[in-house]
Amino acid sequence: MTNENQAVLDVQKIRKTYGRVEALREIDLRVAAGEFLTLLGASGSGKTTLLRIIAGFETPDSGRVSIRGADMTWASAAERQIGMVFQNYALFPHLTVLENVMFPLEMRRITRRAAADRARAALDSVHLGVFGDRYPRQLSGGQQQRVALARAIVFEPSLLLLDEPFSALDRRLRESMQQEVKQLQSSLGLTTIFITHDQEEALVMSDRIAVIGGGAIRQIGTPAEIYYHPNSISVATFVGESNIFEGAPKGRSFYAASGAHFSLAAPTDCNRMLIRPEAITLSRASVPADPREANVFAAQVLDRSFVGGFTVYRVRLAQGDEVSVRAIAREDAIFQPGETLQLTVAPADCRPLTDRSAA
Amino acid sequence: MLERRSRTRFLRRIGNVAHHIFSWVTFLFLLTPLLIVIPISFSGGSYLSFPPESYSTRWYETYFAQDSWIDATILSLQVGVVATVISVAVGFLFALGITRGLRKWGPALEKVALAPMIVPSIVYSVSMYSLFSRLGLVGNWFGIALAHAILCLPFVVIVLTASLREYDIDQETAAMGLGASRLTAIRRITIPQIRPSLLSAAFLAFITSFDELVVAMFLSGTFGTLPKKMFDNIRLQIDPTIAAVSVMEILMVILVMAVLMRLNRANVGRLS
Repeated sequence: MTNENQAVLDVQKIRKTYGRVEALREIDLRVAAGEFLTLLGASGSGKTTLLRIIAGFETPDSGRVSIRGADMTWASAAERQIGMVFQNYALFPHLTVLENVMFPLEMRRITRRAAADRARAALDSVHLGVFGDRYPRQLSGGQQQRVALARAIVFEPSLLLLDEPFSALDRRLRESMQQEVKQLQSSLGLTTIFITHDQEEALVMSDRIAVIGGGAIRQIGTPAEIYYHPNSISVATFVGESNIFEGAPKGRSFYAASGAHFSLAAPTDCNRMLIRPEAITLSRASVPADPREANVFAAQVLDRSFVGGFTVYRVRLAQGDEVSVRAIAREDAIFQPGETLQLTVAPADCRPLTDRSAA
Repeated sequence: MLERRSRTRFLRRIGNVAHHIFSWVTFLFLLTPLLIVIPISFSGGSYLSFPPESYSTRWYETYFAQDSWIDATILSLQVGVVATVISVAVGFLFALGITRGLRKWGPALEKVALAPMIVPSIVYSVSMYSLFSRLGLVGNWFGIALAHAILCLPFVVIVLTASLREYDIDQETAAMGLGASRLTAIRRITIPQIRPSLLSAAFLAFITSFDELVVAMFLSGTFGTLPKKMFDNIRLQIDPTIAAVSVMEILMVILVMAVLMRLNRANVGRLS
């Protein structure tokens, strides 16, 4: 174990099958100290199975789980020193809030007095200091969430696992809880694995994201890497909106199946290409542009939807491709359905999808 | 228009009244035998008759004065408590097995656990008799308790599987994640939350055993449980002592149920 690259969690070649269903096929994952890593995937992608194997609630068919360098593959959940927040919080309804937070300390045979002190401090850190004597059912969803969080961090776990903890909260509360959890996590330096199917949440909170699908990690990287350089259609469509073109590459050019020609920033041999809707510009003026600097097309507006901060247009290129465009909503630049416009997109924004496997 | 409205109202009222009458008739049909036993138990005469010609408490006195009645009662309590403890302990493990872990065999196991309720009690008694006579358990109070425990098992399993199915298993998982062993998690987290069901199951088990006659007749030998004593009494003497005993049994059940309801209400107040 080297200090410079110390992994708190090291998952190697994990496999798990249920009957004939392959839930996980060879998962490798390393999480560094203090890192916030998100497992992003749709339901049934295997992310929950992976989390349960890490937590010690399931055992893998093969592979290894190490925590701080020690092999924990067959260790019980209790031995692993992992704090976990469940989707439904799993607070103990017959215990008060304080007793809930004291529970993990009691299990570690810490004296009642010391445990109560530490539990109060943990409750203070989630701004629930005054609610210790209440029962969980007397708290709101957001408050219950904080209790679950306090209970998961009070024993200073080596790893914090969050299983879709915000899915039951309404949008506004969810956003403030996201910020709070993120702040708490970075101020305590907690190594955290977060599970979600919400790509926005993943982009906002993570240091790194592992996109999971079909029981395998499709791509792992920083939010920006995942967003701007997805390696496959499945990742591109799962994270953010996308326009996917199929066609043939030729040096620094890409010929879509429809015949539309795009200049690229670099030569490629990929036969799929991604353009994010916000990378495209629509304008009424027809400005002659250098094809090396911009790809220019004539496009007709099919329909539009106003989403507040921006407007989403569906347009059809002269070559026939339908493209979705996301434009900053300026009141003086609203285009009407039927209008013919100039569509420009920079070569650098035409991103080849390197992974050839259609998922 | 107006006429039609009043007609609808009239019909609805008739329906309501009919519904009430029907409910009361059913209620009385079920309750009358229980109510009739009360005056009979205070009869002054020497035979079971209704209505009694005179009133006294002599049959209650008879019950408390005769050792055979008191012994039978103590034996029944003893058998009932032991059968309850065994059936709740085994039934709880059964219910745990059925509701989790045993995905494949759970349903089959559940059917097996319910079998004692389906097999006719005379068949069950005869087979128990032939088995226990070989084991030297006939004429032994523990033999009756054991046989009763098996008879009580279906009730315990039904109540506890229902309760465990409703219980959020994530809580037990969470407790283990927080450092508890499976056993500690069950003891500290699961059991306190299904306590009302455990109490109901224990109550049902106890009543089942306390009230059971057929198995007791086969297995008790020279002495007898309270139901057997009552049966012997009605065969040999037909005096109103059994009415007095019945009234006391009814009172006991009402009392236990009241206590249970209180306990459960206190629990519900805290949990939901």
